[in-house]
Amino acid sequence: MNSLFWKLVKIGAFLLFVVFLIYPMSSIFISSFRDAEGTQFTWANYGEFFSQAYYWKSLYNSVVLSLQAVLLSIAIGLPLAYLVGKTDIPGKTVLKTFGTLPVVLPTFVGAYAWVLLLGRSGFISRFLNAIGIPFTSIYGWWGIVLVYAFTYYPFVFLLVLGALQSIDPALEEASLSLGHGRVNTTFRVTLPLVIPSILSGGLLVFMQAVENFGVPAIIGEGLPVLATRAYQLFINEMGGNPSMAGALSIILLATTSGVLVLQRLYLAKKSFTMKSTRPIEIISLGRVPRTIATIVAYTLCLLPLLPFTVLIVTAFLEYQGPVMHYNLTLENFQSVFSRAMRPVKNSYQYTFITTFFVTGIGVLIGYVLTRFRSISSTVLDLVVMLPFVIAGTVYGLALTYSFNTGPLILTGTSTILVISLIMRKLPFVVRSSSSLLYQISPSIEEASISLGYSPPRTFWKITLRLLGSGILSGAVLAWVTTLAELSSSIVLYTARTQTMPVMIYQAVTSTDYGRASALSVILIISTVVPLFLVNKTILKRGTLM
Amino acid sequence: MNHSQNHGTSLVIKGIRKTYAETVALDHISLTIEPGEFFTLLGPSGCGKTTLLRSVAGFVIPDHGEVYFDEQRIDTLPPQKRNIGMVFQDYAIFPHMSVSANVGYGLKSRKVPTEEAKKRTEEALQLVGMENLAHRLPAQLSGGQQQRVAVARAVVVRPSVLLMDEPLSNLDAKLRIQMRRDIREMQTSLKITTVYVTHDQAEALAVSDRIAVMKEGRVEQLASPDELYRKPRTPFVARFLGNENIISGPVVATTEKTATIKRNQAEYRIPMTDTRYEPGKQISFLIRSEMLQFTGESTAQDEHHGIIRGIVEHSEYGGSLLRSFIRIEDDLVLEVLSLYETVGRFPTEGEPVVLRYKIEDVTVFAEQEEHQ
Repeated sequence: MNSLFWKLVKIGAFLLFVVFLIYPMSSIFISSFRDAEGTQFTWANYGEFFSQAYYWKSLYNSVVLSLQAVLLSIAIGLPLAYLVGKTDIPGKTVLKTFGTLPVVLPTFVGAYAWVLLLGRSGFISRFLNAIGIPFTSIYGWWGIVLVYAFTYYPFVFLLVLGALQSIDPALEEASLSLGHGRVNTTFRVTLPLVIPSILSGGLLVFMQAVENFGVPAIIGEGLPVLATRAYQLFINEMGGNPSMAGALSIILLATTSGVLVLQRLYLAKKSFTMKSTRPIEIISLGRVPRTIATIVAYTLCLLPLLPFTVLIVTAFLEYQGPVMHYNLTLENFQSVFSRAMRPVKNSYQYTFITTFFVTGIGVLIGYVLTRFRSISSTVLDLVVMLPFVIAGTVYGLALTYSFNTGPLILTGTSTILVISLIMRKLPFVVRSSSSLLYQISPSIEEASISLGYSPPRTFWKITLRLLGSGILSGAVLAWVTTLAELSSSIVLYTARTQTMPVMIYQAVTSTDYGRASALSVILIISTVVPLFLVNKTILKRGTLM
Repeated sequence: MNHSQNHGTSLVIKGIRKTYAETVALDHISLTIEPGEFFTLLGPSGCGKTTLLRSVAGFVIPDHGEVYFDEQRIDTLPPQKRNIGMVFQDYAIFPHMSVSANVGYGLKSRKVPTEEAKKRTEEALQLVGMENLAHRLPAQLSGGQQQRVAVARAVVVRPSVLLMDEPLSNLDAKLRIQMRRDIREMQTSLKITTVYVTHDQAEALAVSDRIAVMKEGRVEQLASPDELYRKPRTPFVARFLGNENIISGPVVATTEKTATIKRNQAEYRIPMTDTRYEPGKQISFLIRSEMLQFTGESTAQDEHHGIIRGIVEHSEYGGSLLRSFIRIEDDLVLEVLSLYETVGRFPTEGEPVVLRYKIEDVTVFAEQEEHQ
């Protein structure tokens, strides 16, 4: 079974990760223990980090902001999942779609869109001030938490919804038959059964939030977090000493890995496999409670999407810098197409190549991991998940430092950008394809082999056909997240290799709101349209990780 | 291939050994399966029966040993080159192909011309009674129908050997009985050498020419169904075939034709075999539950019959059959299976009874369990 082809796939996968992940990350790790000249071993960088508020504050902020984002995401995602999954409120397909959308929309665009609404001269801010309610702006701590939660709550929503639907109704009936009421049953049976999913969702929120660069950069107003601090060090010290940036990166990596390990340890003791043979039982609400529940659900779903609709409108309004006039115009788009076409082209090109490779490599690695159990598979499984705990800015820094000298000089090329995109998206595609592969019984492949087809032919004729739509979902997911990638690109881009997200970020920071809005609209259309065209199942199934 | 179709292929397994880390899955197994034979591997889970089947298929690579189809050594070939037909426990029907595409799949790899392939596919579907559902997708079929497709798909390629891995264990009881009869009929008409894996002793007894009972990677006994049931060589085989009435104790007296075994206070008479027992030797034997009869209080033992006294512990009414559990001693309960008509009444709990058996119906185990 374990034919030559699959051995080569495994070796290739290891090579890819050693050269483009282990090597750059370990050189960053080593440089964090070097002094300014890069010669002597020293703990000084870490000493400095923990003694100076300038540095340790950023760690504190990152962790606390992300934890608050997790709590707020649960506060939105959990009730929404319950209402959609367990009650008879109308329009569930719509709610599921709306409840998935935020996560595929670029976060920094979301942040920027909120600025349009709640910034110092935002629509709502001005309105509030006009009617005498004192409100300054969304900028700062709570703005970041709010944008994180509004963007990432779908992780909690979708995972909890999935868990709710897999609970065997007999469990709840058993509780009811033993004399516990509806409310009691919900808190004593239903909720405990979905806690592992809440935690898994919460972990995804934390990981995304802690590594996020765009949101704190746009609405943080100088509030330091690890991702932005590492980036600033990188900019300040270009050509100089990378050791402090290295130390910062390692601390960020330690934080994310630590949280991941904690979650795994907890879940190892507390996970249930549930398989329901009957469809979920829907609780029929009375007329008044149903009306209230419907209003609550739609509010929770629509509020996070509100800024995006505003953004689309404003893209067609006239701007002079940050100042907006209520005149309809196509000028913003004309300006993009005449003077800023390169980032659009770059983004499309890089995303296309990345999607192609990440899907192909992801399916092959996913297959090796699910079908051939061995020590090397276990190691590969761990290695493949590494990019998931490495912040984008950190990974960007590692690649830059590692490939600017030596046999392989890639810094500043489009190749390195594409490599960073591929590596960062691989965990998602590997995870989604292996979860699909687990559902295909190995005996299906054995049946084909026993009928005279070699393992590679069987993979082609049977396995790939069966994965079919699943591979497509993975590809669309890769496309969507690659197109919106900012945190590694911001470190790796040059004037020639600038991408749409980088351009938007720069336009926002230089208050060129007209162009930022137009580019954001192009970016949103580029992500949402293929999602709807190619793949309705991804929204239905909600398999994001 | 036509050759093998008409006369069947013999399957020879020579000294197969397979270990996983510390455990021995197959311990030097050698078997010769005759052309056209329906051969069953029977045993509890973990006994190695599936591993042995998968070694023949090529999905398990043994550490040692050889496998031959007729004179051709095949254990060096990859599974796709062995010309086997395999039926899986979970059916393994390709869900994206229609019924006829599933059946025709193996013919394509063998480059059978389209017209002939079509004809053979139809014939195979007729054989399993699925010709009317040829264009259905697997999702529209019941479990039993899917397994019929799986059987058709395996036999249509005219395999040297048909391998079936617990093919009926996912079906409900009634369907299982229907399917096992159909499978046996089909196998007899096609004369395909068949290796059948199951843990269900009733199924094995019903379909097989010969059965190998496996335990811990070894063949415990290889025999025809009748011999296996009547003459189990070991207590393990007896128990696995559903006979729990196993008694053991030392020989206390012998005559020309019988020996007397004493267990605690009770004595049992058993037939003398060719290897004569010395007094004091520990002996295990089996009195099958249908060989025990209720008899009158005054009945005494004679030259040909033994007598056991006990108290009714529990009785189960099963229509024609009456199943009673009789406590003989504190740590020994015997099962008695009788036709209800012959007993004529329902034994009441606590009632003292006398059981009679023919001494010649007692099975003395050829191999005694070591730990007794």
